[in-house]
Amino acid sequence: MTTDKWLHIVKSVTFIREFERVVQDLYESDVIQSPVHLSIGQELLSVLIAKLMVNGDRIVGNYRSHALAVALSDDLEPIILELLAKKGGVSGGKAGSMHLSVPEKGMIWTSAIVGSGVPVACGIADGLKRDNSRKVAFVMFGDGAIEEGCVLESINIAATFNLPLLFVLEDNGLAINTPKDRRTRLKDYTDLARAFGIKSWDLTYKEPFKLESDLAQAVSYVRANCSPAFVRVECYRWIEHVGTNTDWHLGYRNETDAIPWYDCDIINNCESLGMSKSDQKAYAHQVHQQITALFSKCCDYSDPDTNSLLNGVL
Amino acid sequence: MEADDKVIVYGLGVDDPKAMYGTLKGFPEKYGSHRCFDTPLSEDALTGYGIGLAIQGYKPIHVHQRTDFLLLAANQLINMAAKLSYLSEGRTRCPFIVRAITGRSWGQGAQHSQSFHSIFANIPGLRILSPSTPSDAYNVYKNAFNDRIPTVVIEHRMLYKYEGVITPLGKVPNVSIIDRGLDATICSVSHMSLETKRATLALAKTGLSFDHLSLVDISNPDIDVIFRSVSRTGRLLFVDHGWLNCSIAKSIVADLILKGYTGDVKVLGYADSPCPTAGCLEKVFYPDPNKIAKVLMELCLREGDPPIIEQSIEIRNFRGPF
Repeated sequence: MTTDKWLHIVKSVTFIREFERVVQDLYESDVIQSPVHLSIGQELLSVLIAKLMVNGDRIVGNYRSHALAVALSDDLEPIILELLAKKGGVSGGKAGSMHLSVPEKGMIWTSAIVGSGVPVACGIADGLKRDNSRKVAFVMFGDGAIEEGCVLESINIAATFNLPLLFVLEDNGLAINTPKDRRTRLKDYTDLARAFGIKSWDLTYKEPFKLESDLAQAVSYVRANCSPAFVRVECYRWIEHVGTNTDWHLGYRNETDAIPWYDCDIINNCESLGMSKSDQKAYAHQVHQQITALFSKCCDYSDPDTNSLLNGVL
Repeated sequence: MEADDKVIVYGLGVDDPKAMYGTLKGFPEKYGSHRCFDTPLSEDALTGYGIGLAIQGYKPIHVHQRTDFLLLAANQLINMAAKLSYLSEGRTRCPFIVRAITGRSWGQGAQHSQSFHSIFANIPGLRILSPSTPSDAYNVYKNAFNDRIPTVVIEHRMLYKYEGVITPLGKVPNVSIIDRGLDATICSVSHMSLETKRATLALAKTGLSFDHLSLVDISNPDIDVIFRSVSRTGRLLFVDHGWLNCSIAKSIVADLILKGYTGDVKVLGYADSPCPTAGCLEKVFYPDPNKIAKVLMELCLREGDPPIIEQSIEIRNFRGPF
């Protein structure tokens, strides 16, 4: 492990968490008038993937992609304007939180229909392969998506067509408020990939160093072999499925379940990763203020022109 | 495919010996097995796969041996393909063609005979095309990718042996003119254009002539063209290739009335049931030339018996097994 690398990762995770904290601060004021699916507690994977993507790689996210969009963006303004559904947003306010994109970084768009981006990523991967580009397509989806037919179809397609696609399963164990044991009898998601001959890795936020190095290995494998790979990453959703609050009061889970995930959280472990707690807090405070200022500036931008309603339909 | 190596065609059986009813005969040999290839069944994911290829600059054509299977692709077509351009403010386009082939006869029955043009035409961001003539088919495929719109083309298998003169149009046809005449306007869709033509040929002997229009672009039909025709003839028959409830037939009639048309209207389409397998039931499920001729005579206030038209040759001669 190199200290610089992890210092950078801690800062990136901090930045995204503070971005989401600002969304939490502002949400009550109704400046964001759309559903938000926060990434709090699940930032690390997006940070690592953004680090591994090279120019020309492509990624398909989903409705919970604030972390990915922020990790990839050089300029946050189009993303913030999109969250605020303002003119100048990356999609002119027509997409919003659930359909963010960072086109210049290969994040074309995201879908709010669970699993539906996975087949699209297969086609993107085949396009990259047909171009002989040595580029990689990534797709991020949750454990709920595994229960969607098109995801299982996509695993077969990626294997059969031998596509340069990295399946990234963010396994937080929950589909909205329904725990996994009510939804499936599948014990090990990587069995699915293995059954189709797809190389797979079983990773967890509880082992961040292994997560970081094995994810890099998986990406190298896809790039070098122009073949699919599958990583399952165990993680935990700290906030309610949609919205900005905790939901321990609902009774479908207990905060005690979260304790192991707080314990392994890299911000909580920043000391061992090369950043003192006080430095981390100071950095968090500083970026929180920066992001808040950016949101307030963006709140003053104009709404989309109503005559743009029909633009881009065809 | 010869002009643009980004065009690729895929789907279950496209490169098998039957070559999609012969429509893709010799394609793998000519364009390479990487450009004309077989797939897993997975209609849903393979539709998303086509969208992904289109995003990457390819021009994919996904073929379904039966239109009925389009419903397995509906999520990707409606929730994904139709939204991609809009949600990216036109930045990311989706030049993707889906060929869907509608069957009929020899007991194709409830699930091998349907045409879903009206269902899909309800969705902004998708384009549904339904060619009726060789010229329509040529102009649809020659030009559809130029508009970079996700497009579903409903082909009718009973039209495959229909020969005709090709008139290059340089664009996707909208409403194409089959005949010009005086007594009524007829709008027809898909195989019903051929069935209607048989009726109008028989009625020509009685002195009736028709403005016969085939509707190719179901999503965005040029109402002005139809309005000009009905304003002249004062009578309209719409022969749809689908159920009439919430159909393109009734939608166009409504558009014409909203524009001020006050003439007579009749509509024909599937009977209001699933398509039956029994031949004698199937015969009354579809409008046929006899029924079309009878309704046209009523519409034109003609007395007397309608002509007797024998059953259409492509239906009479059709044998399975598929």
